[in-house]
Amino acid sequence: MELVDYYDILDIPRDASSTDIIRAYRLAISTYDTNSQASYSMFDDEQLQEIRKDIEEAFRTLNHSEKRKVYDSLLKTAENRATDQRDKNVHYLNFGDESKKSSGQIITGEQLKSMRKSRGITLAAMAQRINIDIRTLQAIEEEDLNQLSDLNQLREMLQRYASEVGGDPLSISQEYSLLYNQQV
Amino acid sequence: MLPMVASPTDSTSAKPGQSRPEIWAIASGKGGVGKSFIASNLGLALAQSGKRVIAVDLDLGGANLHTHLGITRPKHSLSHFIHGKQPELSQLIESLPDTNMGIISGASDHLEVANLKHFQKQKIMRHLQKLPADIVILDLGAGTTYNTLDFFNLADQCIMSVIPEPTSIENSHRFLKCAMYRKLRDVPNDTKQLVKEMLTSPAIESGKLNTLRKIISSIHSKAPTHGKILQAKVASSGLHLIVNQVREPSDFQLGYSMALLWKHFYGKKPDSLSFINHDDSIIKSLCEHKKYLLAHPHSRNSVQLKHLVRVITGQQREHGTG
Repeated sequence: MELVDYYDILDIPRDASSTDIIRAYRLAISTYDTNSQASYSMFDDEQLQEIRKDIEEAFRTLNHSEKRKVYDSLLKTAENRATDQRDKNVHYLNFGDESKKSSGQIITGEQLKSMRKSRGITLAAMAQRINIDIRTLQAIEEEDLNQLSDLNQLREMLQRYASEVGGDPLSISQEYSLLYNQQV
Repeated sequence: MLPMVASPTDSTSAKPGQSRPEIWAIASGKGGVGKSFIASNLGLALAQSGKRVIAVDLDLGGANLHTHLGITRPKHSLSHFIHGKQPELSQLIESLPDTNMGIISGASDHLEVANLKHFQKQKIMRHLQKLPADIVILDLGAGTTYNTLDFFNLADQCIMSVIPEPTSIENSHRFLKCAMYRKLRDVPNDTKQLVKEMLTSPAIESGKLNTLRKIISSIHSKAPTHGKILQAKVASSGLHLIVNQVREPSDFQLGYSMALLWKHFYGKKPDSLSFINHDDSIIKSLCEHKKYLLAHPHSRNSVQLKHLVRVITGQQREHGTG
């Protein structure tokens, strides 16, 4: 069973002092009170009760130094396990020979285009979604680098492009930029 | 430093090839909670900070942004553009004297203007992004029509206004929930399909996944790539909360509670939280056809709005989007 993040429930940092914890607890419990204005119409009584139960549990644990120590170590272990698992699960969409490339290799405009097309996104829809005009998008996909004069702007556009097609924004922007650097 | 220009309609204002203006939308879900006051005075505060601002009244059918800006009878109306009498939205900008701001009024006696057709909305959205301004402010109408939600989701900065009344809070929750769910339709097809499946799953029926955050988190645990796309979508624009008409200390508590609730429900806390005090001078300014921020530059509310402008533009600089 997944460990509930009590810090998240109370919206406090991991190094919160006991005063922070008490203050956060008071805010959280009043936010989800049956008569709270803030949560009005959001949850039914049963759901509110459930949320308050979590808040009480978070407070009881974090406000008790020994319990907090044990909880912190459990949380750390759970997070490490989740990170390991996440690393295994990271599989940004790979297309064609893109799957073979490793860091330092170049991603081409053609590859970007095939990523876009495989997601059923037309050029016009892409332009509207990421607010880049069609001509610039075509220039990126056709590697018409004379049209793309500003490297920083290009990187930023590539990140938006990558996010939209489900790619890794950072690596795609870096690897396409290599192409730009070669030609400049 | 941005160059100051005499008027946003000045032909020198719009440079060829210039990038699209930032869009800030003011919404609430409910009428009468201060959207037009906030839109007009945020615009004035932005203009004072040196930005070229155009405020657009999209509260079609209930437009009165012009009145907050001291204009009794606007010369042009958005309805001229909607009905094709004026092909360019930018031709409808009315400059406000002694400011760096213009307005496109939504005032109209035409019944149809409040019921935009899909293609008319698309046309407005396209033209909004071409307006000759640094910031375009959208004063949105009440309710959760698709048109209003889509204008809200077009914005880079989404500003929600509430007043400390259950009806306002209820409508604001409904509005934001609808806007967020609609936003999640604007994702790649396979991600959209996953959301659709999740929303019809037994876990939703049972109330186990009773927040948007839990829904996205559940998708993320099964398909991390799609989960990431959805998380990025929720976080794709700035989100700000203004508690208006504050009278009592408990009204401040409402703002902090709503911020916490947004975090738990949407997985995103507001990027800023502001409080506007109840102030009779606001009505007085309206009656005297004066612009509040200029008539009361040192009032707490004017100071607060100027501060909000600094916070939002500061956050943009921090994130490199300004």
